[in-house]
Amino acid sequence: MDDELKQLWNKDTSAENSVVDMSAMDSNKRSDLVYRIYKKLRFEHWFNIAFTIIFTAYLVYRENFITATIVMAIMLVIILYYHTLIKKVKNQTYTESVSDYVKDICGHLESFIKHYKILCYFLMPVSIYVGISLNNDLTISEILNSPKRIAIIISAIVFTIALVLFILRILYEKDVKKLREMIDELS
Amino acid sequence: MQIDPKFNQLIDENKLLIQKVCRVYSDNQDDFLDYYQEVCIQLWRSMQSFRGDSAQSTWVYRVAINTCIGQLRKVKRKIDTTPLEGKPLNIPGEADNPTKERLDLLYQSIRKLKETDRALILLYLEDKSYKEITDIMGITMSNVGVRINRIKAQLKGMING
Repeated sequence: MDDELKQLWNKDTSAENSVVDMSAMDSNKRSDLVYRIYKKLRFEHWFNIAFTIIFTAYLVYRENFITATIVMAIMLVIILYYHTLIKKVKNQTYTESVSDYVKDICGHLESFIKHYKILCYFLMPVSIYVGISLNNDLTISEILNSPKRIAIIISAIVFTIALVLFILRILYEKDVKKLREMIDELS
Repeated sequence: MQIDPKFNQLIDENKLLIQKVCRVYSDNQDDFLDYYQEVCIQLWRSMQSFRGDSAQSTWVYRVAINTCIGQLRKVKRKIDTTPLEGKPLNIPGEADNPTKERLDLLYQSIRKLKETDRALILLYLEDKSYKEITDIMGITMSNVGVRINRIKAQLKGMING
């Protein structure tokens, strides 16, 4: 049976004349998981930079210097985190063993999911608070003294976190599960 | 775009090898062309890092298998070189050739296996030594032996019904 299988396999000797699209060599048409993560991160990175500049300028224009400083400090940490993550994903090679490669891409995907969770748990409440306080020119004590406002903020935070976690589950849980299964098979 | 002649030579020398890897990971002709394209892109991008520490075929197998496994999800995107959509996977040869039918059955059976098992049986069928399979897959030699025997029994069951 073994020889029979190998004999049959070796009869597949004629290669198709598949033409490689050379324009895709510039990487704009790649579709593998690592590149999809890289593309999303890069887009978010530039969005974060643009958002930080515009929003800080707006806060300074409104003479809200304390909030501007807090926003700048938070966004700087996030931008540096993105920079590190992008560098790690960009340097991913395909020449290592299959086992190492699967571990690497699983690690990238888990970091990618983790960064959304960090944003979700940390940045969402901050941005909701900043949004509400800017719209109504309210101070922290004014917000904390209004049970209705607190209830609205908490509901918005819970809803946002639940939505983000649900989306992450739908989009990536299957891929992480599959990669973990592969790691188990290869260990 | 200017393509290095060394790259064209690399593809020419390893075309069949790349196509076999792509065939075991793709269900139809569209996916096959996508995978082939992706593998060529990754070989192109990885070419400069190849220092000859391992055999060229080991390197090509690693890039090809990693690229196919790394797709994870079917991505339906249009490639200029795709002649027809949704066409069944084409293995070159005469249409009514019984060998082609048996080859089709073998590929279909391999495609029913888990991703990592497909790579292992492909390397076994390509007559790679356990040492080479270990280098490509990054698993222990004893694990290779055990798993290949299990996959062979599984394939046998599938092919013989």
